[in-house]
Amino acid sequence: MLDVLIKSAILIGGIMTAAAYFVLLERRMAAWVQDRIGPSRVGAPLSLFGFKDLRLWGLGQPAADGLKMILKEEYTPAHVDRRLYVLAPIAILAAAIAIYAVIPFGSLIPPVRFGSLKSAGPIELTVAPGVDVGMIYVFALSSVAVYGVILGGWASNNKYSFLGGLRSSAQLIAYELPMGLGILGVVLTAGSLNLSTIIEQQAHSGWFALMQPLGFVVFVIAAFAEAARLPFDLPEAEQELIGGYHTEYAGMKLLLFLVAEFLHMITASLLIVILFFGGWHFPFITGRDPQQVTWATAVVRILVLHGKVFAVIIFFMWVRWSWPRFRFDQLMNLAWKVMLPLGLVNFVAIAVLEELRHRYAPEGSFAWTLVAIAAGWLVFALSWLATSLANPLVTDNRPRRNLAPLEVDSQI
Amino acid sequence: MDDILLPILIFAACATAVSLGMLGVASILGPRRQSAVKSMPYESGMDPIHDAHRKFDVRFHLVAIAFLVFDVELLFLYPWAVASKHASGIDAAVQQASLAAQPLGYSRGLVFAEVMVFIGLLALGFVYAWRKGVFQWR
Repeated sequence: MLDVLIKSAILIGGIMTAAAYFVLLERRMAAWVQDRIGPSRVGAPLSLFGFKDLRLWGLGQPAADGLKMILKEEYTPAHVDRRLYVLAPIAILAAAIAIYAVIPFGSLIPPVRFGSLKSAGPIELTVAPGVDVGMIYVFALSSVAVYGVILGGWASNNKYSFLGGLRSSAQLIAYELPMGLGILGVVLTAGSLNLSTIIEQQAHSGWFALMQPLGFVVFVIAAFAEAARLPFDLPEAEQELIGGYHTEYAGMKLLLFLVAEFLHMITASLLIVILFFGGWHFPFITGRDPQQVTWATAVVRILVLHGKVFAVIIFFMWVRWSWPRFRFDQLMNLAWKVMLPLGLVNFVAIAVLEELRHRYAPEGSFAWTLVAIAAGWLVFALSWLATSLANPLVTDNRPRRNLAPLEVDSQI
Repeated sequence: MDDILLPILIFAACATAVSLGMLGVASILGPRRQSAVKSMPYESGMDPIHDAHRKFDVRFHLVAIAFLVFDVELLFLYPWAVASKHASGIDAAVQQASLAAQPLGYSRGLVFAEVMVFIGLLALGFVYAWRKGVFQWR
């Protein structure tokens, strides 16, 4: 009980701070890409106490932004559906935080003694350890985000919000399928839905990004879309929809939406690392057995996991400033006509491979691992080739006219 | 049971409390200056024409149905994916039945074949929806 509260406090404090500082990092990255300086001035305001101000490379910016948001007016427009309007940001942020209950942030740390309090054994770095349906839990809570989006869009009673909400929900549900298929391959190979077990499995048999490149690519693209990051940030395409589903929100309610969005990105990075890049495992330096921990290995594992997550987040931000946004029909075409078939192909290939492994190398062997990697990359290359040959993404850019339903049928 | 569920519930409660707390603090500290113009819907500076809650041609409902079909079918695959390799999964069940000398009526191969047939049906439905133009965005 006490340990859960301590872990919750550390975790919630940690991720909220992380979200704030990743905003600063993102702004600095944007500035770097666009050849400007970015927020570099806000530091410690020591002039309040009669000293010289410290600039600290802009590290005070997140605190200043947070303070500004808190001091903004908390107003509710007259035309909205009040209850749903307030419920939407709370639901989306609460769900975005609650996902972290089952996500491991390292393996174990040795028993801790604090005064008269002593832990019963090694402490797992998860708020809720041993949840055997961890992956389903994450999946379910990330779907709750759709409710926040569509409630916000509907309750705002604003045309931009409404369109943004519809778009967003269509995008989120469309990309949930490829995401589920990508995860399914991992679950099948690991034989468990428990995130810690999936990491252990990778520590023994190699990272899944290496063995299932197709599933990895499908999952990463779907994760980008679920986190609504560029090139998939259609929900809030400001040129078309002003703010999308949060057009009518301001002050703290807007901040809740924005923080939830950032948390979705951090969750996506954690999932990518845990499911496909071996979590806390790194060859030669972390060891493989999760039960064997000293303080040194525990710290190394935590650093490895967070280093990987940091790298993936940098990748997210890099992509954001490198790729333009899709058009909506391209986005939906990509989801339904490319990602879903590829996900199915990936799943069938992995299922067949697993069945063969069960037959010919039940305990797994080095030779089998090599075969599995080769097969995985072969499937990846073939499906890439097939996609580029069939090219289902060709879009019709002619001026539009209204088609009768029968005409639509004849064009297919 | 409680050992597993309780931490999740506590954490979810903390998460909700944090969101509510942030809103609460802001509504206490923030100023309050309402005005008629401020509480109007934002429509890029135009006077709003009508309510946004009207009938809207939702092409998305087809997608929603397709999503439901595929998502639910996908969820059926999760139990199999776990049982396929897990220590107390399919293998254990088959072995137990053979020890008890009670014919189980299925084997590992049969289960695998069933899953493949299931995916085949899924793919068939997908092709049908595609041919029917569900995924056409014009």
